Parts: sequence; C-alpha cells; structure tokens
Amino acid sequence: MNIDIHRDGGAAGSAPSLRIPEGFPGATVGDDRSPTRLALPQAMVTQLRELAEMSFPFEACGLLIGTAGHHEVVAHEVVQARNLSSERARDRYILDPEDFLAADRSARQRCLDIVGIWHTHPEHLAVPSKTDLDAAWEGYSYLIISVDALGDTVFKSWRLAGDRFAPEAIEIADPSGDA
Amino acid sequence: MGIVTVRIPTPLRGLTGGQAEVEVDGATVGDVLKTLGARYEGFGERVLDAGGGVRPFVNVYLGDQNIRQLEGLDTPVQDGQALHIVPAVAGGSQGAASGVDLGVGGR
Repeated sequence: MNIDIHRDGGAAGSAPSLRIPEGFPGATVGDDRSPTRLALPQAMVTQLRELAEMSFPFEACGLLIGTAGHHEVVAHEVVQARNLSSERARDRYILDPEDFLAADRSARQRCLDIVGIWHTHPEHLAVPSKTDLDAAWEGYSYLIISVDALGDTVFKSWRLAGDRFAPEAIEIADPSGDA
Repeated sequence: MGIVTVRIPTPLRGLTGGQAEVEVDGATVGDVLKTLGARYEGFGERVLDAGGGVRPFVNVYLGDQNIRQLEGLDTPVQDGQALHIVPAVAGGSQGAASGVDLGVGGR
C-alpha cells in the first residue's frame, strides 16, 4: 500500500518562466515517458528529515539513488553530498561534483542510477525557487524538504518540464511511519 | 591516443539513444567530446560552448580529476580510461516563498 503525501497541485502554473542551465540549451521534456511519481521508502523519509533538521539553518543537499521506470522513480538510497556554498549556505547549495561522481560510480556498480536530487529549504516553502529553476536539469526528481526551527518538515517533489517545474507525486513505500 | 569509456549523465542520455556509457576513440578530452558531438546530434552544444570550451554548468572528470585542474580539453587520454560528464547541481531557497506550506509533512 502506498500513501500519496503529495496531493498539492503545486505551483507549476504560477512558476515564472525561466531558463534551463546554460549547459543544456534547447532541452525538451514532458513527453509521456517522463516519470510522474517518486516512490520513497519510509526509512528514507526519516533519514531525510534527520538530515534536514541536523543541517538547519543551513541547506543540506544530496542525491537519490534508484531506478527510473516508465512513470515512476523508485528511490533505493539517500546520499548526502557536501554543500560547497560556504557563504550562502542558508539559502543556496552547490552540490560537490566529486560527491556526484562517487555516488554515480557506487550506483553503477549495483546497476542503479542517480534518479533524483534533494535539498532542504530552511524556513522556506518546499517549492522551487528561481535559483532552483535556473540550475535545473531534466530527467531528475527534485525533492525539496522544507524545514523550520521546530524541526517540522514538508516534502515535495518536482520535475523539470520545459521551462518550469511540474509537481511530482510522492508515494511512501511503508505506510506505518508518521508521514 | 586510446579508447575511453564516457559516462553519460541522465539529462544527456536522450541524445545518446539512452546509452549510459559509450566508447570513444581520441587523443585528448577535447577530441573525445568533439567525436561525441559528431556522433550524437545536439550533444556537442550541450557540453561545449560556442568558443569550444566546456560549459560552466558541466564538469568533466578524467578518472578522479576534473579536467579543469588538468590541461582542460587538451588533457591527453589513454586507452581504457574513464571520462565522466557530471552535471553541475545547484540551487537553493533564495527567492523562494517563506511561511506555512500546504503540503503534508510533520515529524
């Protein structure tokens, strides 16, 4: 049994028109092969909450390792990466490319792949910012975790669709948790 | 000069027919990337800029080293080496709305 914790229609309709990364001109997405659901085991939700809380008030970031199917991304592992944004770590993240490299190698050895990118928004909504959109790539789930000073968290997942983010449903693999 | 294995990141696999790894012959990293650009339409302009340099949102690793710390595109490659194209991943809440979210969460 799965629990969909992402029933919000999201802000895609109101998202500003923004560019994709300079390294990726002319991208087109949104065909029917794009996964529209992120399956996240409860243990990973718990792990991500802890990472978000421990990093507060700074942004934490990392990768999701798993498999990408026809309409679903299944996360198997959470990897935390270093945030290289030392001066703006409260509201920016730059994921260490060497952590990306290491995660990709580790995933490949297990016939898995990097399927998503997660980061926290301390004291901000779990909605992509212009900064997020400016640097977004197609083909990944972008899991954003809003966290406040009390440790309350909100998870939302997004996927780049052309020049905007579209919301992506999250399904928790184990409903016995407290999400 | 040699055949290197190039690891393609997910966002670029649509250009390589879904292949995550491709083998390319070349003498330098630049040779390899140009060959990929010739082999796969659209690949070159997504990795290299108009001046022929690596785009700022793209990192290229030869083995464990970023080619920016080596000789860049002139870095020689040897048979059996691995070239990794790593997308730059960044963002953050700067400019995002703050306040109470409507999603489902909690502790």
